[in-house]
Amino acid sequence: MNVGKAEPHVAPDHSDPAGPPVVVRVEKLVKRFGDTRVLDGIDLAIRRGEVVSLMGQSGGGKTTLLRCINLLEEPTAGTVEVGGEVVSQDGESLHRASRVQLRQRVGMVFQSFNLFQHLTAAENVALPLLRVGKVDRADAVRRAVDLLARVGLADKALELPARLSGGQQQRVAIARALALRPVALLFDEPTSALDPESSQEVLSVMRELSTEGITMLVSTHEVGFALDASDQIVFIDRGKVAHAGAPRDVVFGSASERAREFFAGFVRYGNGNG
Amino acid sequence: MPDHLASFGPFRVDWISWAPTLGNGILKTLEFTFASFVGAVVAGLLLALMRESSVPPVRWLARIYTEIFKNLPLLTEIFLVYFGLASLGLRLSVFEAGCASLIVFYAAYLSEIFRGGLQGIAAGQREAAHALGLSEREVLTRVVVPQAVRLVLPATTTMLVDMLKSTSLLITISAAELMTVGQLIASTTFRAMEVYFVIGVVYFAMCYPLSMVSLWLERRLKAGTPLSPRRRHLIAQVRLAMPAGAAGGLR
Amino acid sequence: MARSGRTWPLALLLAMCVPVAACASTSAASNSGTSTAAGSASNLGTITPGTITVAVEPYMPYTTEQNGQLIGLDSDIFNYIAQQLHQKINVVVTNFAGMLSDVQTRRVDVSIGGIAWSQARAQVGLFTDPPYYSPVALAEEHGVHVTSIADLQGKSVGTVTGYIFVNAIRQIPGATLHAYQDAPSAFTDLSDGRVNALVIDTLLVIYQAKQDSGTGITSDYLAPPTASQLAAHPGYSAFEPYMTGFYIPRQEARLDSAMNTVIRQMYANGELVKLLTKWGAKPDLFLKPSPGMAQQRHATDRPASWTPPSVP
Repeated sequence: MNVGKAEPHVAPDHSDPAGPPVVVRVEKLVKRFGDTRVLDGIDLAIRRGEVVSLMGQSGGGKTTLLRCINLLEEPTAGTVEVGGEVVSQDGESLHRASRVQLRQRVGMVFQSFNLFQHLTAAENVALPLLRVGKVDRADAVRRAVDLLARVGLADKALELPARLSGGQQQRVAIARALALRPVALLFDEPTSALDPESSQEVLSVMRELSTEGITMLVSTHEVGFALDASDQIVFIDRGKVAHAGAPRDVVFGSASERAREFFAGFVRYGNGNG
Repeated sequence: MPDHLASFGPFRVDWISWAPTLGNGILKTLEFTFASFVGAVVAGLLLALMRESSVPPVRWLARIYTEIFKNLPLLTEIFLVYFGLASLGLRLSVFEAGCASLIVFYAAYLSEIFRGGLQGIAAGQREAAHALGLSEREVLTRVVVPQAVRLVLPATTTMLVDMLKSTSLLITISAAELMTVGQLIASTTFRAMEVYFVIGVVYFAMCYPLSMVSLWLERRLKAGTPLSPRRRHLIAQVRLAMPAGAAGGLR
Repeated sequence: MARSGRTWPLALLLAMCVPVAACASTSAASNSGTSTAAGSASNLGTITPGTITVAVEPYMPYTTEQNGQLIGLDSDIFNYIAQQLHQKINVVVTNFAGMLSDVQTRRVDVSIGGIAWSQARAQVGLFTDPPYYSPVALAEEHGVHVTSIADLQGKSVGTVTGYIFVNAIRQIPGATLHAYQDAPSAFTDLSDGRVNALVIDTLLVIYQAKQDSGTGITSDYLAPPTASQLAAHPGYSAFEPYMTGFYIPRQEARLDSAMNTVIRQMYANGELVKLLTKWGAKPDLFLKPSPGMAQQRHATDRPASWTPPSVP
């Protein structure tokens, strides 16, 4: 597996209405917890093959936004569309069986990996395939091992998560999220819990995925990745989109004061990765 | 009822001639224990799941049950089930009543243990399971329960051993188990010390292996060794699909 | 016998017996059957026709069970009666509380073994005529002799928890009470010298001496309290001789009268003398009623014309 820098990504043209279809659309999304509006009217459109980085202060609503897309949280108001289907509108969201279906189309990678501790890496990846029932066991196994190979961990297929490093666990988690060929992958600060070396392992995998045409929505603090690998950065501040646009525009000299403050450190010193 | 002359050092009770009676008592004790344990585990699991239900009345029902039966002495329950219910028209046999009281009592404790186990599985894993599109039931059976079993194994074994010893209370409903036999021998020979010492040894000999088996099981679960044939087969298939020469992982 | 009035299990049982008494004998076990002739296996109204189910506690020398056979004094008496009535026997082994409950909920046909007649018990079950009466006796450590209540003053005296003797001993000036969980424990402490005397079931002492020679435990009968002693310490009534009986569910009056007939026969034909002697009891002390006993029964469960049985 190539751990080096990936090819520069050619972004699909947003302004072209005849461009790739919108895979995830969010309109005027509001999410309230008690009296607090964590999301206060978010608009977002992600086309197929796009890689979008979600950035901003912790607690600003990035995680909540991701969770509203696969309905781990139920939106209070607004519209969420996935793959052309409305999954939530005006506070009414899909119920049970449909929700289960939705989540088979959208994969999620968590900050704390959340691998199933009692199963080997291969079993973790194969689990979603096996329970779907349409895939026969031999095929499920083969696909699981292939996915592990894709993230560079084929030889660890029979290890338990406890025996894997953080970076390895997260890569298994990515393979698991890919198992059902989702239309989009959501990443919730995938490297925040990792040391720098492991972070780079995982970011490499993510860069590779980004060049393969997978639609990705990544909540992250890794400015380097956001600049190199994503098509747009959506900067969220206090529940609203402060600036969404081309990565270089958002990071260097954004019209939003909050964005300028946020990226000031990076602008001055870089992130050490060149 | 004079003793026979057979004696062994400080032991003056003729244990050889009492052996068949002891054997019957042991059998009865084991019968009650295992029948009741199976029932209590099932009931305890049911209660634990009820406590997690999203329907409030179901939760409350389980909660009330647990509070009541954790706080009633087992002897009281045995009495009420066998004698009390009889006077209300429901006459249970000795075995039915004995098992019912043991089940009702231990289910309450086991449900608390199981609840702890279910909650002990990091919420993150449940979330990940949901995010993968597993149904509520699948999350339970594929992710939570297998890990919960490992968590609750020590405490559950403790309850099993406790239950085995509690069967001695069933003398009061003429259950003819081991302690009853002990009293028979003690009252006939008047050698209380010796008799209860030997009975104690027998109880120990029944309880200790249970703890040992549980420890063994715990160790295997921790190592992730596949226990079901289905999983073993799956692991074998994975091994075949792996690149040649890739070592490591489960044997 | 000291198990005449363990008060706490009685309280528990009485609490539960209120519904029992209320439900009365509406049970379906209706055995019709005509009057019994002594020579045939007839229907006595037992749970299983032709069989008497009996509950006992392991408590030698009164009752115990071995290989399905009943052993002991009460057992011998009962075996004889069952034989005379041409009934089979089905033994159920439990503890004291279980025994009484078994009768009161009609789980068995009869319970035997040191059950003393008491007014409270007679109100929720039937008692046969006394197969024997029980004086009070003591077991003493080597060298001690106690024949009257006065002799117990200043001594440490043991008994079993729940026996009526507990309160009686408490009323003896200067005496220290030790209450044990069961008779064998009490005897152990007696032979260790931790108590001076035990007030306990009479025949237990004799039987225990047979089992375990060499401890030097002696025994004496206790003289009943005098009228003035009773006036001063009402609790001493526990030291008076009392009636024993076999305890039968209220629904089985026919069994009760059948057994009474045989019991009277056993007084007359010397069978009881034989059995009591076998187990070490003096017939004169055990087979003659005390004054006042008739009156006790008249007030509760016997007609005014009834007299307690006796050897001539």
